[in-house]
Amino acid sequence: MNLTAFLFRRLWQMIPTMLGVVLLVFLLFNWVGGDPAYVLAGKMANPDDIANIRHQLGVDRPLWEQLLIFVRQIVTGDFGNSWATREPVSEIFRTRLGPSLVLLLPMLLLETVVAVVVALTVAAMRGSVLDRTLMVTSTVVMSISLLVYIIVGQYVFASLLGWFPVKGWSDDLWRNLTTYAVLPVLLGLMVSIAPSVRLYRTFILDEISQDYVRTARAKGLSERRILLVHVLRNAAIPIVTNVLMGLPALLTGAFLLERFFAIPGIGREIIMAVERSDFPIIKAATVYVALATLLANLLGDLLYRALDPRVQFE
Amino acid sequence: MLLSVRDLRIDFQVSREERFSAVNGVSFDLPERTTLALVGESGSGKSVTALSILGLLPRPVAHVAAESRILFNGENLLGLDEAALRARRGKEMAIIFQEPMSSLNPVFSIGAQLVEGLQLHLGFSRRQARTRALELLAEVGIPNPRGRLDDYPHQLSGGQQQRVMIAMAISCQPRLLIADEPTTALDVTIQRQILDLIADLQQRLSMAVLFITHDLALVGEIATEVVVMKQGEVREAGPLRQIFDAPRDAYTRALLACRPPLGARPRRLRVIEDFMGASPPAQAPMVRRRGSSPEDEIVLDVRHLDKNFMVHEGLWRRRPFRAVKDASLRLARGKTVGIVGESGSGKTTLGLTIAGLLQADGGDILFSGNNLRDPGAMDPMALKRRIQIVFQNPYASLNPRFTVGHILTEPMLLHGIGRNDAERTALARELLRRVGLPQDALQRYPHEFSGGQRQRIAIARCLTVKPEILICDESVSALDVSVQAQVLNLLQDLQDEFHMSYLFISHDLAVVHYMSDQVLVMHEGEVVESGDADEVYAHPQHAYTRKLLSAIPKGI
Amino acid sequence: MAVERASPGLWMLAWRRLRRDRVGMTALVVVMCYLFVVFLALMGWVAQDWTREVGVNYAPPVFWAEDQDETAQRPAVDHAALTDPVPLYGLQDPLARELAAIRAEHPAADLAEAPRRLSLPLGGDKWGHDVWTKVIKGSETSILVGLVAALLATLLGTVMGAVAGYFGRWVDDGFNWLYGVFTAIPYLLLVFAIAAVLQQKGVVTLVLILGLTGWTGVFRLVRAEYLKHKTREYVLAAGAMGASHARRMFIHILPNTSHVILVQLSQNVVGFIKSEVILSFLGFGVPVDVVSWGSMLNEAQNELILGKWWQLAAAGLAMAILVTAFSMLTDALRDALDPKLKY
Repeated sequence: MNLTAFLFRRLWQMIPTMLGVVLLVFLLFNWVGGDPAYVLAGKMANPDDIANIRHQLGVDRPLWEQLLIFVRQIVTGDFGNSWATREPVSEIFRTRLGPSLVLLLPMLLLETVVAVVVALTVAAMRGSVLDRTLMVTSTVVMSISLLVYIIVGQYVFASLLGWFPVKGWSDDLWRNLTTYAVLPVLLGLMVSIAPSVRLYRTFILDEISQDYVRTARAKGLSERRILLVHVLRNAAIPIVTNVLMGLPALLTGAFLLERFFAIPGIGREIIMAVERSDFPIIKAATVYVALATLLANLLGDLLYRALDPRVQFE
Repeated sequence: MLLSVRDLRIDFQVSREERFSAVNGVSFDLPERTTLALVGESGSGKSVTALSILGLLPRPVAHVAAESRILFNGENLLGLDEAALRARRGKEMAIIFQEPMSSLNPVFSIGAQLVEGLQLHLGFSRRQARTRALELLAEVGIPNPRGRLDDYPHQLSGGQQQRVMIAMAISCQPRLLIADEPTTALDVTIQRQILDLIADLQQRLSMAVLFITHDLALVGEIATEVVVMKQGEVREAGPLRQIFDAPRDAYTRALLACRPPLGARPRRLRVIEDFMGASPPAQAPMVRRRGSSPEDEIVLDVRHLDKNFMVHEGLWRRRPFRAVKDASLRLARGKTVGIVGESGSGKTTLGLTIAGLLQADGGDILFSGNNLRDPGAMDPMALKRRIQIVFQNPYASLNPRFTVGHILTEPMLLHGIGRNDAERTALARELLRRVGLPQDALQRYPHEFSGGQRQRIAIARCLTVKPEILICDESVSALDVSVQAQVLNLLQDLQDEFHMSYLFISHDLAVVHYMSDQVLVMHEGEVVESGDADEVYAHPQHAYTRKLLSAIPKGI
Repeated sequence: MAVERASPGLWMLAWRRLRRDRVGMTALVVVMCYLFVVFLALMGWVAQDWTREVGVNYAPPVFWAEDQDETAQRPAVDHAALTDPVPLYGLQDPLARELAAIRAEHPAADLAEAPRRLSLPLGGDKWGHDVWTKVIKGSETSILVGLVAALLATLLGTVMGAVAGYFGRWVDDGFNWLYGVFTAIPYLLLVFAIAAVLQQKGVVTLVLILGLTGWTGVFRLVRAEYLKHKTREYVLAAGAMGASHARRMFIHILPNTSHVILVQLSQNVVGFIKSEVILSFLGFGVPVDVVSWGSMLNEAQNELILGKWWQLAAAGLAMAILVTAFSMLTDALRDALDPKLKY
């Protein structure tokens, strides 16, 4: 089967899942959550105000009509304005996406490269003292909360030592990359590298125990070539899939990092929205991030098939 | 002498405290341009020996004793460092393995894998290497090599994959080729082709071949020298004819005797104990008569059975794959119908469908006056009780979390056999005795038993509900030949005692012949030939049957 | 009758393997100690009085205090600092107003009444609460939330995975759809969204949020196990014997997937504790009158700027030790239960 037909079928299969997401979000906000008018009107509301708001929001209409409105919002991308700042929701996402990516793309890239290199090294020396020490260390490093890293890191390296700015962001990409994003990226790596190393190490070890490695040895190939050519090419399949599955996280950003370092990204925006019960933002974020996740999964699937000759487009 | 193994001792570190001795003082010699067969059952240490020659043992856990010597061309391989060993591996000595599919790297084309050795050892350029690879593929009998060079391993059949493995092994014209059970994973007709290929290449390239196998019958086809191993030790070594005609060792004699012979059908097969015991076997076993007669009472009548599996095709379409097409058979009380065929022939599907584990898509299954395909015909529980099945894999067919007692009493509980637990336990104990297991097995878990013992437990489990029909789906295929003979004897005895009818499914032509009154030959879902066992084996009508029969190794 | 010898089952063998694993056993002991403390706190035998203001505000830890007293000769922090601007950074205590209100409400708990200690075992927080007691109480909350939510999620995931994997076809399609929906939304985002909608905060709400969203991992693995096992020959044999679907699902297959479930449960506890800490830190988790590691870290964040590091250290360490031990225990469990060693 060819690529187009495969793509077509996979996109077709996404529809029920996407409908499920829409339904879930809708039920959550329009049914479980109760009347948003009280949230929006705040403490100082009188009945007239509330009725007015209810009418504006459309929550005085039957549920199915509200669902239609919601679907229309999703399709047109027009979720109205933020309840808190009156800024259009679409505008918020458009402007917040950049900083999130500036923070998280380098992080993902560094994480992948470092984790693969480290995992290959320890897998080559599996069972050695270095391997065991590193595995124990990674468990410990993983176990400390990101919060602690951020709080301590920000205090020590920014406040006390002054190596980095405590927080902030600029309009200049280069300045952001070299100044403002450095400490957050490093702190983020503290927690994200260790699990990746462990995961990739098991991927590599799984491959090392395969029969074809024995064949490669029987051919007289060097351990180095076996590891870097035969093993890595096979282990790349799950590794690449894993990295792609991590892509959607780029959109929500690292909530905590953005919040602590006052980086105007999507993650910080979502946290503020939750704090202020700013429902339009949360709803839009949930639905669009879900859509992006599904597309990223599809991309992962495509790459997986491109990397693995055994899997056909079917 | 090309290869001399002297006092080889290999231990495996099982856990921090435990060591397991896999090879214990093995010595043998392999002259140039000769084929030596290393024969033994599982756990004999034959594969470990082979791997140790190339230095391919798993390094941290395997320990080779200091006094052991492996002399290749007069040079002790065990004394070489890794780099020196690497320079010889693939160049002067090469190996092929049992599973060609997993032994080839799935993400590289076969061309890329063939070139690798040529570039490394012979210093070929990429272009030269590709040309040579094409020649090699032609040499091992891959049709249209040019079109195949860029194929991936999964696009080739099992036999072709093994041919590619062989091409890789001979690419640098090694002086020693080690073949570690190279045909065990293949169908019998493919096995024949690979054997012929190896024998042919051995002559043409004047290599020495170390052929490792569990199957003595194969040895006669290919080897001139034989070494018989058991539990890490050499039991007997010598020229082929001497081993086959005048075996001195009791174990060798037992191995030769316990395979069912194709020509005759003894009442029971000889087992290891007959030879290893103090007294020699008393008398020649009596002959068993097999065959059908018109008076036989038919208990199971399968007519025009169809079974399809749905396979996805294209965007949304699903196409039926016809696993069993129009199969008919009649099984008489106390008799055995053998079903023989290669992998993918539909023989197992047919068995599972008759057992009621798969739903048929057409035809009738008439069982003592009821049509089993008719849902309301019969109380399903009563039916389940009367047709039972013994599976192939002794390691998967018993629930590892249940004790043997639990495994045996559960069916009785389900069918209301026995008034209370005590009665059921007593019955279970009796059945254990009947299948030849110790009484204390009741409290133990399956993982403590060997493959043969587990198969006995599985048989005892079927007997708990006193079935009329027992379906044996490759039930002895995973067992060593000596254990196979014991289980086959047990099945024969039980049939005599309980007058059960057997549906005996196997790829092993000799075993099916030995067990069956009538035989069905299946090929690609169809029954191509059926009839009395002796008749079909003596005068095969269908071309496929003839091909199958001619592929049986008749080395002995 | 012959004496029958009972043989060790697979659980027994796994336990023996675990016993030999020194790291695993150490981790198990540490985890058990935590659970014991949680039990004591739950029964109200310890840390019941964490709200009592036993020390001066920001009372330093004992070992730190002596050191400071000798070198700096600094007097203990003045009580008046509660309402005064903090001199060091010239910042106004953001909670000063509320504190004053609280003090007005509870005149009995006034500072002058009970003598306050100048230092505490692990120091004191802004109000003079004993950090040691707070850590115990916080451990109780965080571990209980993690444990109960993990049990809930594992139960949900197991039942759904078992049903989906065993029956296949449209049942599987249905559950897979649900799985697809829940995994399409990144976990934390989903949790945030629910937290935003549910206006009432509480420990039970938190457990429900985490449990009802966290079943997907268990579901995926259990479903895969059931897909694998339902065609295993021992299950087919049970079917041929006439065992019912329920019997095959729960009596035959379930014990054979239990190692996967146990490891997942253990992993979930760690994951949910981490989630709880983040949620509580952000103020979406436990209510203000409940202390957890997350809420402690939240307070500690501001304290650190004033150089009062002890609450941060206490909560961070308590969490790190437990999570490390739990992760190592999970690894040890996985090794001990490894089905590859089973046969």
